Amino acid sequence: MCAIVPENGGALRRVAVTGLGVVSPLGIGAATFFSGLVQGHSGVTRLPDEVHPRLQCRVVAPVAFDGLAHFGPARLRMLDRVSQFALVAAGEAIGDAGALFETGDRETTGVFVGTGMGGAQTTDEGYKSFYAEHSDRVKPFSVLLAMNNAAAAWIAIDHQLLGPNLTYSSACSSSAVAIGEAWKRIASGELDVAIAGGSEAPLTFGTLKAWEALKTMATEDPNDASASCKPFAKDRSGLVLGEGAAMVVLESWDRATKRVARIHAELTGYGLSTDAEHITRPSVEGQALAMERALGSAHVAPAQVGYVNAHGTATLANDGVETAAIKRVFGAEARRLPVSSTKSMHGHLLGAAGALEFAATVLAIENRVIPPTRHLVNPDPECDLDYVAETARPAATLTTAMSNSFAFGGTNVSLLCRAISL
Amino acid sequence: MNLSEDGTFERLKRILANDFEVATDIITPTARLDSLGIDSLAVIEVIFQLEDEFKISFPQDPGELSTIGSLVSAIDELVARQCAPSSPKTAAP
Repeated sequence: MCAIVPENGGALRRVAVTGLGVVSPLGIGAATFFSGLVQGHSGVTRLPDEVHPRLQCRVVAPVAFDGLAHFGPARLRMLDRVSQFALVAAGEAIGDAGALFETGDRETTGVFVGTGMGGAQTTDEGYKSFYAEHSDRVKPFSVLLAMNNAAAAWIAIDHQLLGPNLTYSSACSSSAVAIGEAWKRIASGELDVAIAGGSEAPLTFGTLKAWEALKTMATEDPNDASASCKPFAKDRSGLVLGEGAAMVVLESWDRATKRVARIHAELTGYGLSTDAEHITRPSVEGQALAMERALGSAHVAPAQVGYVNAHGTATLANDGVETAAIKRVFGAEARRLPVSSTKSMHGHLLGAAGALEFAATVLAIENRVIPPTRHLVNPDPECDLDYVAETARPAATLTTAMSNSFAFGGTNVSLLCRAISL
Repeated sequence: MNLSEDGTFERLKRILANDFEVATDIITPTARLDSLGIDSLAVIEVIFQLEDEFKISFPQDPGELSTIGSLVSAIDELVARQCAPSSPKTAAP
């Protein structure tokens, strides 16, 4: 990442996280989500036999979500599931930020959203009707529902936010990029407020089948389907696809403190790197570089970091490489550093994963408790860090934490945040 | 205009009320679609539903459809055209 030069030529401004919103396989609402993580609940489940019987990999992490509970029927027909998730999460985040626009600024507030696949459900349904059913009756709003920037656009329309409206798509790091890019604009003085995060709704037959073909999906645990995602374990077998959204409100520190906002945490650093090596196989160098750049941008030493929310997909390739990358960056500190993968509980939300896990990291800092890596019963000798296996851990002195998001395509992101009492 | 229960107007009214949340008392033959909250984009979806309801097919350029009355006329015309005997086709060689 190039050095960020503030517009005023002076120091970077501090950035506060003042709002959180979550739609997740562990429930709707940031508090419900984090409580589920701390209790070690799993949102992973097996699809009923009658749903898509041709699917072989049947474990997924769906959201229990009824669109009609949030939108009227006419409105709902304009919104793919991915936009529904995004709007509900953004609404919670803006509400959570409390009187966010009382002093104005709607005309400059930006919206930064990450998504890997946009309106996948609409695309899937359109193809089914067109190719499988040989119908010429494609729904008239298919284009508007499926386009990748629909979620971001609806957030701006619903909340009248006239600043930059940008959608990022870098596969599994999309929403971490969105949060980092929003942070940059606030830190540099370009914006005062941003809604940032990601949304993904990929649990369609076509998408699941495509992932199945890639041979990266977890094998179902024969005793307990909800335990199928086993990051860093010897018996890990792949990722579990999930769906949902997470949004945060980012605000310049001065603005947040001036309006006496409740601040969840401070977003202090953003590191971005690219593997430029292989389209899927992760690289130790690339991942390490993202972490180093995040530490550098926040002027934080490895010894100061008290928790890493890992990318931890539970694929054979990622977990060993990420472990090695953490060791490279943190050196001797890696041994005592708690690292956990919450994907063991909420699955892999692809483009929304980075934002959901950033929310988990912020909540870990705020609540001083580290969520566990569940289903890590059989350790892998190659993965020999402290993964906070099975049970959440109180962390009274936790002040700085990192959230990692890596991706097919090689766009690596690390975000750093800090507790507000410092 | 046929205003009976199963007439075009009443069927259109039911669609607008049920699927587009338009209050039935403001749906009159002279009402403008935009005054009912049906903007130019929503008209496209209304047409899609009407095609299913009346088993008709609107042309790519459906013409002037600014009021409920003009929509009813367009539907009736398309239904009539569809019922008319089609021109004899050339026999396949």
